[in-house]
Amino acid sequence: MNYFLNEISFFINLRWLAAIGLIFFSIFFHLLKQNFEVFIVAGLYVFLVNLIFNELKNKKYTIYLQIFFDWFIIAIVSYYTGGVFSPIVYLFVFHIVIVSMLLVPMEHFLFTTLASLTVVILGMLKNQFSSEAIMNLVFLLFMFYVTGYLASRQAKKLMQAYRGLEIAHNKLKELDEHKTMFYVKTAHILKSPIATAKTLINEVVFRRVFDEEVLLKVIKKLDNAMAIIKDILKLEIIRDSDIKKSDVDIVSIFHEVLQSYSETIKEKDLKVVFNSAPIGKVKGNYEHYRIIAENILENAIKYTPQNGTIRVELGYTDDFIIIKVEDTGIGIPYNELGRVGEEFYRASNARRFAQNGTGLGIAIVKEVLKSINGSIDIKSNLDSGTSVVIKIKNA
Amino acid sequence: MKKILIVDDDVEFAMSMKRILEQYYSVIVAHNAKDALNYAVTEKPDLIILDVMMEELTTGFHLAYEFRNQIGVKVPIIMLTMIGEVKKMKFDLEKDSEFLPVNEFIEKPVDYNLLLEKIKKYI
Repeated sequence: MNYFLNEISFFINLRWLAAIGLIFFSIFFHLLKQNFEVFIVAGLYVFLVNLIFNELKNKKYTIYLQIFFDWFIIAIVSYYTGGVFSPIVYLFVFHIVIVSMLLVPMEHFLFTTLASLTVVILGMLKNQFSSEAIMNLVFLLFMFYVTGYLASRQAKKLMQAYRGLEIAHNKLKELDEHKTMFYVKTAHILKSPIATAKTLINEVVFRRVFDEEVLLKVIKKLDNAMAIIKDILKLEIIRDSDIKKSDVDIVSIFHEVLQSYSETIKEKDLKVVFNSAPIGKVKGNYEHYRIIAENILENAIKYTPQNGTIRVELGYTDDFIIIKVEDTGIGIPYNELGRVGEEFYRASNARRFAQNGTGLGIAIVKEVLKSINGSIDIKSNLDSGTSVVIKIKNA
Repeated sequence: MKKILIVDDDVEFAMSMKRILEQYYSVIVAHNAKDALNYAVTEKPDLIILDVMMEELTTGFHLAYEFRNQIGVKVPIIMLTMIGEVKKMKFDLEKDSEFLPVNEFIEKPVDYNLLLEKIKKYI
């Protein structure tokens, strides 16, 4: 729309020059002792109608008014300067090009036909029926339609390219904004555990007492900062499009990951129920499945209190591999469920239950799933548990 | 003994401040906005140390606003921020209010000498 209005303004400015040009023409023709009055009248006409166009330059219909009034004056001047033999009729070509570029095909076709009929009527009014006049007329009509078609074709291509660029530009802008937000959030999230660690060290310095308990807390905070950095690096791995595929055994990946949490499972006395169908090996990237298993199982183990139960089910259909992890954990408040998976977002009860966390786990899983045609569905009841179902298209 | 209310959802951070400040003052700690609003009225602190970022990035700002405008807590507020002094923070709650109703800012990580100096200015 802005492009359209800019063009309207451009043609208004151009018409001021045309009005001045017509006045100069009339002087020139006067000096050559030719018929000059029509150019004075045309110059004044163009000047006056342009004053009106200038007032209406922010309206889209002004373009139609411009076309109509210009068509009228070209027809009149052509009539008085030689009919189909007048050099002024060639201004219709100029006009057809502009109309073809700005209006839709049907509109420019109608205008080309109007210009053609005008030239035919001019010939009839001026009694120009000689073979020379008819040849000139046929040539003019041919030129009108071919010019109109070519200009419209090019304009359509340019407009498509322009729209394509506009879409790409908006997409890039959105991505850039997201990236900036991600950096800002990363800085804040990363600064938090580091600031606390430094404050704890300041405390030890201030008190001048070697307090092992405080120093262990420093280590815990720095571990949290490291976990955030590791998660950010994981995001980079996932976004690497050249990732290699091989035969992956998903069942054994889940076993491996569960094994790595065996100490916490024992400490919290969690019951783990593991069921798997004979999935066999699937085509995929080991790292991707490892990331999914680590994040989903870590959340289940971390947010399930003492003596809870975690159920892991791995299955498949003809099209999908299905991973289901259910826990009897703290759950996610209903009104926060939609935000889980946002980068750095941690549910309010999760933050209270476990201070350390990166808020990137589900975001990372979602990023992996995006790259391998997968989906995630999280259902949760506050204080009674969460169920995560992941479906991955079977390659 | 003067009483200080520390409001911060980072337990380790809040407890570190508590350990230092309770050598000189009586200290109470709130880890969420609800407790903070409750203690600000029931415990009648002489000064509040308030973290900007809690449940949401701006919880601290809203809490400061509520202390002053909703529940009439007029005691000095020291705001803990990650980015130094915050100026002209706009509140969603009141569009024309551009001021931040706090007395001091202190940047995290906290330098305890500086914090104690700032507290002494008010109580």
